[in-house]
Amino acid sequence: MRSFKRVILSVFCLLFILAAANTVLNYALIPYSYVRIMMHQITTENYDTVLLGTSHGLNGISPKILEEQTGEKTINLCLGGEYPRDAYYLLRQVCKKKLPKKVVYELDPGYWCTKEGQRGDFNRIYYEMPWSEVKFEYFVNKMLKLDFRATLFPWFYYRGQLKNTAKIISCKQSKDYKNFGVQAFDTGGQKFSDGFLKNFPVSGPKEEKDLVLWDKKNKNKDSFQYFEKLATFCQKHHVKLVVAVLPVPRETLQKYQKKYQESDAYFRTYMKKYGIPFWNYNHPDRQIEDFDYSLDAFTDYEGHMNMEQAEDFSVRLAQDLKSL
Amino acid sequence: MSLISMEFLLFVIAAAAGYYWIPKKFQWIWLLLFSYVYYVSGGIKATCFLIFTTVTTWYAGILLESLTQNESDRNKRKRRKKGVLVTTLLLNFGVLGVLKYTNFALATFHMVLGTGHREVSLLLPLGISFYTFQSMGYLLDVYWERTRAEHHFLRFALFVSFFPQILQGPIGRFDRLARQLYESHSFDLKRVQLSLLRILWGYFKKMVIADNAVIFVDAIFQEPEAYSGICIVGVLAYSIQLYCDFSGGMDVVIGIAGLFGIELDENFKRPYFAVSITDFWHRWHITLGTWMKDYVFYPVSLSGWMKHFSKFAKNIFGKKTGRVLPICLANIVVFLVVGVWHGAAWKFIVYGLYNGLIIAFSGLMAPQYRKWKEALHLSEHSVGFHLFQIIRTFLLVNISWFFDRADDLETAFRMMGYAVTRFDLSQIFQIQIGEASGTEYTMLFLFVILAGCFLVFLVSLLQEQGRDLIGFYERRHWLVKCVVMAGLILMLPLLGQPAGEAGGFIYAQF
Amino acid sequence: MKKLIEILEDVQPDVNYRTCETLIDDGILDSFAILSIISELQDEFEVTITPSLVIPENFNSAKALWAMIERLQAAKAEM
Repeated sequence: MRSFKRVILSVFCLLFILAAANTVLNYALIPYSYVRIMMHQITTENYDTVLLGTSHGLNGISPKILEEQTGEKTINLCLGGEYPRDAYYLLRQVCKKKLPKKVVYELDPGYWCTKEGQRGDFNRIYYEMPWSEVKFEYFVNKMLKLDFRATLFPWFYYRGQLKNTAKIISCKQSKDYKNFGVQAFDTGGQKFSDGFLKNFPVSGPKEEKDLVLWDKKNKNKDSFQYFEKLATFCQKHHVKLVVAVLPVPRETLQKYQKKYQESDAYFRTYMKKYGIPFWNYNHPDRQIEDFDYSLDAFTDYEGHMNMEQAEDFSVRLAQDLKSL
Repeated sequence: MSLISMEFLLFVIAAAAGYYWIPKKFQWIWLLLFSYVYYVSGGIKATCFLIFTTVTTWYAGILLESLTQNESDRNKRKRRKKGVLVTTLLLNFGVLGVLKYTNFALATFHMVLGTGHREVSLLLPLGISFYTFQSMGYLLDVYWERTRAEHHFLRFALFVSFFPQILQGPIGRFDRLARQLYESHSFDLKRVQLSLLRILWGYFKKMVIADNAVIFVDAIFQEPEAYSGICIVGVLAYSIQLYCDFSGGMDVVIGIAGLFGIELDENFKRPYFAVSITDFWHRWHITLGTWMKDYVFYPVSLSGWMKHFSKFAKNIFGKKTGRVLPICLANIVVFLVVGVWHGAAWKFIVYGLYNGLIIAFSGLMAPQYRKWKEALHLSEHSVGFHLFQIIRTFLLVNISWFFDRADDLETAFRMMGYAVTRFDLSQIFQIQIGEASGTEYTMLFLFVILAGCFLVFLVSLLQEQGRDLIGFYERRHWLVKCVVMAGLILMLPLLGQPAGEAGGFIYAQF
Repeated sequence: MKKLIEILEDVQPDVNYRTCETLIDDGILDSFAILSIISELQDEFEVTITPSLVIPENFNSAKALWAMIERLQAAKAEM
């Protein structure tokens, strides 16, 4: 019996050490993320239009302008590393508060032909999501398959922040953090305001290395499966779903013309099958007049827009949404 | 289900908790159930191959035994038993061969003809070579009447599919493993604690050492030209990675089996302390080595035509050399098989041949070496000579790793050249590692690898000297044990590399 | 038995074969030695040693080896 007591004590002690270490390291290493703001907003406010998608959407669509133009309360939930699976659970979380009228899914073909990574903002989605059956489902369908360290030690992917610990801690103690403010994201190259991530124009040569093109041979079946889940969910709850491909620089389009045409043809047919409007803003039928398609208006070849460019684009997107 | 995924962790916890909770007589069924859940989660189609091997081997085993008992005509018995054996072996190794080597055969065929070809996409069931070897070992045991056949189909299915080991071994032997699987086990706190410690130690070796080393290995082997000054570092890092990855995986597997009270065969015994290549293979992937010895080496050596060859060799080369030559030949055959087992490529054939030739050569030269040692007054037991042997073996092994890891034979030879002609250690610091893929943390992770290796070396050295480390650990205060456990656990996320970048266990692809 | 000890000493000297009972378990005989011994035994005593007989129980001591040879010779005489 004595040894049994000792075991309980050791297990308890072990868990205590781990929990204490986790608390400290989570606090000191995980930087403040705009995912926290997004999660706060969708759990406290009601939205009519929800934007889901990738970093292109996060940089390229201003929910404030959509709101002004359409009169509908809008939130941008696009994130770098957000696959259709993550988008689906984000939408489910939004719907726990109120069903939106419209969902715009911003499509980057790269996310449909690569394996889901272990890094990126999506990590924050799970971490910031409040406890509920949605979080549980998300855990079962996403976190369960990942490295156990990702779930058990949320700070795992942020070890590189060791040198920024002081900054992170002081940020987390600031008033701005407590009020879900955005000052922390003002980094010089970018800032988070009006509900989206604003890129300042960059000069000099532009990056091309992160460009992932559509590759039919390496389809990520899960991306398709979860997009279909998302579509079915919208249909069932009478939410209008639109898929949009955001403008990319003319230079990129010309260089990889064949790949972009293939991708357009593929997803056009695919969306048609499900009766979902497919707006490709690079395709002649939806090209925007008086819009700067040159590389100057983007920060890289991949097509992340500068903030003014994003606002111009948002005006056009708003018109299209109004006519839906 | 990857061995480092959250689902695997929960799966093991559920399996172990249930195992001690259900009535004891159902324990083996519980293991069978979990083994199949595990395998099916990897794919239904693959499971069909597993079932195929299970059914054919199970039935052949029964058939062999009934022939042994009921067939009175000696010659007829021998002939019919051989028929059953050969058919089952051909069927199972046939499946393995087709799935693993079709593309290699096609590529070679077209290379010879100089024509282009397309790869055929074939499903490769997880752990197929491990469970096939394990089953065929059983079959030969029954054929040689070393063991009784298992008549209960489901019990036999558990022997073939036991989940901790099916993915990357150790290859079990029926006489040692099966009984343990079918027996009931009571909860033993001490055993469970030690098993958990072993699992943690395995993850530590894999995540903290191997997964960091692999970043250096990949960088160097992918661009041997750019890193020509540190090819030697590349191969050393590979020897670290391979050992920590594979033996770490084994620690995890053996630890998990230990949670159920099942003792699997050890697969590693501090291989880098080996004094010869033969000794190395007695310490590295031991269960494959003994499998090869019992089921390939002895049968080949004792076969009729080897006997003829032996007589022939004795007539020509004299008694002593003639006696050893056939053994050398059998050795080369075995290592060719080991090479091919490692992969379908010419570099692996060379890798096998290289090992086989060294062993054959040292076998032939053994009497000569003995004379030299006497002439030089070298004592085999002196520390200096022992150290010399260890270093010599380590060097020979590292040469073989070039064949194993380099993209192809030509690159392997080129890199070996660089390893002795070009040195520029500063190139190490150009290798990118860590979060932002910069070189900021390269130094830190190099230090982590070295410190980790030092820890593994220390533990190995103490084990090699026969110290009782487990006993030492057990006698510590419970609080100390807690801190050790917590420390090991926290090291995994703190110093290990994420799996996405490092990939799974190497040997899980065999 | 005397002949057997001679063969053993020829293949692997420096072992006390009259007392040692762990030739295999302690790794005194490696696979090279075992096969050399088998080769000599087959020539000397005209028996056939099959792979199924190559187990520690038969090779751990000179006594065990001798018992195996006697068994094989007896079986041969029966035929």
